[in-house]
Amino acid sequence: MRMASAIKRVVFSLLLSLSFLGYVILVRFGARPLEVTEPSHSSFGNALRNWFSSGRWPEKTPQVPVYADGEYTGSEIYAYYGMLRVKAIVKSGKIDDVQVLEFPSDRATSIRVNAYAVPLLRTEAIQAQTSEVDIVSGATQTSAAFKESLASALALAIRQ
Amino acid sequence: MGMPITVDVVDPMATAAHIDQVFAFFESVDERFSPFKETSELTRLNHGLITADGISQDMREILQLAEETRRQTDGYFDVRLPNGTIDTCGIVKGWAIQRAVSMLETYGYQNFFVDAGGDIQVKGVNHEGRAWSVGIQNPFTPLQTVKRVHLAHNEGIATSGTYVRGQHIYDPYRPSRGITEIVSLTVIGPSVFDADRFATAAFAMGKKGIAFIERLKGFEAYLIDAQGIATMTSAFEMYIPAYAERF
Repeated sequence: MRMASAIKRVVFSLLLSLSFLGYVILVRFGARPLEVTEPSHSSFGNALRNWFSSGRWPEKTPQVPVYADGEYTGSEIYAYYGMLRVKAIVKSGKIDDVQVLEFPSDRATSIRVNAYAVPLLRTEAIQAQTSEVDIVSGATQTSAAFKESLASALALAIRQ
Repeated sequence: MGMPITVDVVDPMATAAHIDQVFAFFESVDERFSPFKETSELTRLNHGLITADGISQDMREILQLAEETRRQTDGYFDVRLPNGTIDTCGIVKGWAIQRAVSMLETYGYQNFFVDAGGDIQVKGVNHEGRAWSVGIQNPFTPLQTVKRVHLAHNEGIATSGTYVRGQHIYDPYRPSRGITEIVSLTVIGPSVFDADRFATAAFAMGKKGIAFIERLKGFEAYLIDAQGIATMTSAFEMYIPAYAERF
């Protein structure tokens, strides 16, 4: 009797640990980091359900998730040397493209990382210079409308 | 071309007749290559009123140069618009300045500049006998300049930007998307023709454009982004007076 009770306890604790593991997996991988439409069913959820109802391991474990077509912008994620945000484009249920919308480039370390793709070049904040010049190089005539529009856009940007 | 043109000849023997001929040339270029004039050769070509066989020698040369530039810039420079028409503005200005420079050289002048809409070719020295000083226009406050460069070796300088006429440059790979991340890109090179076409192409590349110029031997660039931060190519400083005076 004691033996049977011990086995029961072991089975119960095993079940408990496995359910917890299942829950952890669900939380970890079932979450939507890219706001991609959730598959019509959760494969891990199904796996657990199958196991509980049939009393044996399911034959198929994780299934390929089904995504709805569209574009999905991810959250801003801290990527060690700065913030990163990507956009996923899903076509025919598959991820067709992932575009990097934000890439860390504001710190010394990230500049070093990015330098593999773009050479490290000197930057400076522009400031009006007062010396006399012979000629001015610019993009043709001045457009007051464009300047105004840009100024209003910048004003909005500051308020946000 | 609907833009201000300045021809300044330092040489004392300069005659008004010679300068008038240069201006007459610019007018003829406008007559032939303006996309806004119904009678221009470009408009007639776009409307199918003349065939590829019937185009002028200059038009043929410009289309060839445009095609060559398209290949050199991975397609970022393209005179063919998404709707199928041809707009040669991106190449004609630099080409015309270069022709005007040749005319002035033929007349025997050695010290002058030709400026068409902010794209400039300098030759020799200025009225004080020194290097020509050129200011880069502030894209946010066009009456100001933000950088002064000294051109002492017959350089050409050209600026592409979105701050004038709205967004007149687009990325041929994403035509619907305007270029907003950068507002101004100035290129200095051995000729204004090259500086102009590479500035246009590099501007269409957005922030990557500065890396494109960095890889071009003999060209330097100064890029200003929408936040007012400038990025310069590695040897751009040699054109900045304070730097040049140290040597």
